[in-house]
Amino acid sequence: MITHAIRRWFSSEVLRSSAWRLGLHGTSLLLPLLLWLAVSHAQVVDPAFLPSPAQVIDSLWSMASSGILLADASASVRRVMLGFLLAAVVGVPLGILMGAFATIRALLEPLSGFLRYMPAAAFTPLLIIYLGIDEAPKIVLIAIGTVFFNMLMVMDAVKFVPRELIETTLTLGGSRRQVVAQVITRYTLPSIIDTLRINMATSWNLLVVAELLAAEVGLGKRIQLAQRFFRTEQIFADLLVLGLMGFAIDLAFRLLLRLTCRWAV
Amino acid sequence: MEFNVQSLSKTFGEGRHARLVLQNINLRVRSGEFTAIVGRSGSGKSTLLRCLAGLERPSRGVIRMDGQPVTGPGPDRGLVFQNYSLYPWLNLAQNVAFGMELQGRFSRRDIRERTAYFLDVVGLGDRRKLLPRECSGGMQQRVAIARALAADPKVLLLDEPFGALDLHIRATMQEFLYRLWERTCLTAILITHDLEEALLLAQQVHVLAPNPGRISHTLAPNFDRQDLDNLRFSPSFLQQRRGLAMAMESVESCSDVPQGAS
Repeated sequence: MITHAIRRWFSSEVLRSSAWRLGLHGTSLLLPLLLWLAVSHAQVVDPAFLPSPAQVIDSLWSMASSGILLADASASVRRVMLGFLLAAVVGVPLGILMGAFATIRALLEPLSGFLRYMPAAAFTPLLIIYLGIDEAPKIVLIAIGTVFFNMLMVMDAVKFVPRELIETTLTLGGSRRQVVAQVITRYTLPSIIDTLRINMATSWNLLVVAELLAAEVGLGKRIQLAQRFFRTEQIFADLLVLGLMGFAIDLAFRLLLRLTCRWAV
Repeated sequence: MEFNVQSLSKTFGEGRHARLVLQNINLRVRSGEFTAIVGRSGSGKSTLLRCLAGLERPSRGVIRMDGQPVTGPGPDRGLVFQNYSLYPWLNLAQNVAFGMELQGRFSRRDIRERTAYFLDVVGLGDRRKLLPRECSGGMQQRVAIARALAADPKVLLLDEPFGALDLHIRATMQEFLYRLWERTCLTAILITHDLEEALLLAQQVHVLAPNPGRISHTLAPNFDRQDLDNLRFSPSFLQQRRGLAMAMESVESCSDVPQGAS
């Protein structure tokens, strides 16, 4: 009996019925919202600290209609995307090469393992000195903070390519180059997409840090300004937008995985 | 075609940790022959096959293919593993075509025709669009064989190809492989731990004794192979199998004696 129950708790079998799963997913989002409604309605917390959902929606609406929201969001998305892309373009191929070739791994693993532990945010002053205060330092900051995770996670994924698959390819007449390009990369593609999805969150985290350095627009910048004027409802609104956009991108990655790697899902 | 192994030895590790895995192996396989190498796990039979495929380098001795020394893996020696060797993102037809595409010496048309032909040969012509994960283990192994053959090797190396299959499917696959060999001008080297399988299929059986792996017996079983299912239980077959099993046992009990610090 007990083992049966344990198996039920730990397996995803309980979630077979989609109604039950949707119910849980809904609860996960609705419960905090209801709690927020109740607490702000009961006025147990000073509304200056905890704005009501209505205030937040008002603020959201006014920012949207004045065009600030779009300007902020597009500036932020652009920064995240460029930094993230840079980290992907550099990190994924290096990760694959590190996974595939012991020499490249021996050359790069200690360095990336070491640099990974330097907080990206701490590079900020240096980046300003080197790159000025334009977009460049913000994008590079996001890229630095993401790239080493990409490298190490992709490298690990390559370890799971079955040896038989690589050796079969060689005996079929494939060159080492073909093995890397057509077998290792293709086999790890689902893991690469998943790695990028997970590390997208890192890029978003760094966005706000990046916008602390002299930015004109941006969601992180707006939050900082709102704090100066004690506009907590605006902070809430921007946080909400950040969360929603991140969540949407996460879903987009999951969709991409389903579309491109049907064999793996 | 002549595939020749001369005094091959293989040692793993170095210095005090060196372990002799294969000792002085001599083999000759000619066009159209079906050779089996049979031995227990740990007899070094997979290492021997990996050397033949060019995936391991012999510590001593040479392997020659038509006089040319083998220095690495190549499309003249096709390989079929026990499992996990189909490309999971490609359907069966794409799997079969993959080797030809890698080589770049086949035209589009050739690739299409050869893919269709070899899928038919292994009886999967109507399953071409399936993904490997939608197929049984037996089907997957047939595709692996078709893929190896489509790449046009001079010799097919099979590393316990049916070892992971259920018993009754294994018998079907043995029948399949034998008929395939009869029908095509296949040259095959089969590695197996299954004495029955070796005697049933091969014209030339080499027994590998362990510690270190060396060829202890070579025989050329000569059976009437019209009906493999009956052959398995025919007295002459069983007698030969038993004789060989006993011979293997006696060799192995000798080699269990510690050989000092060699």
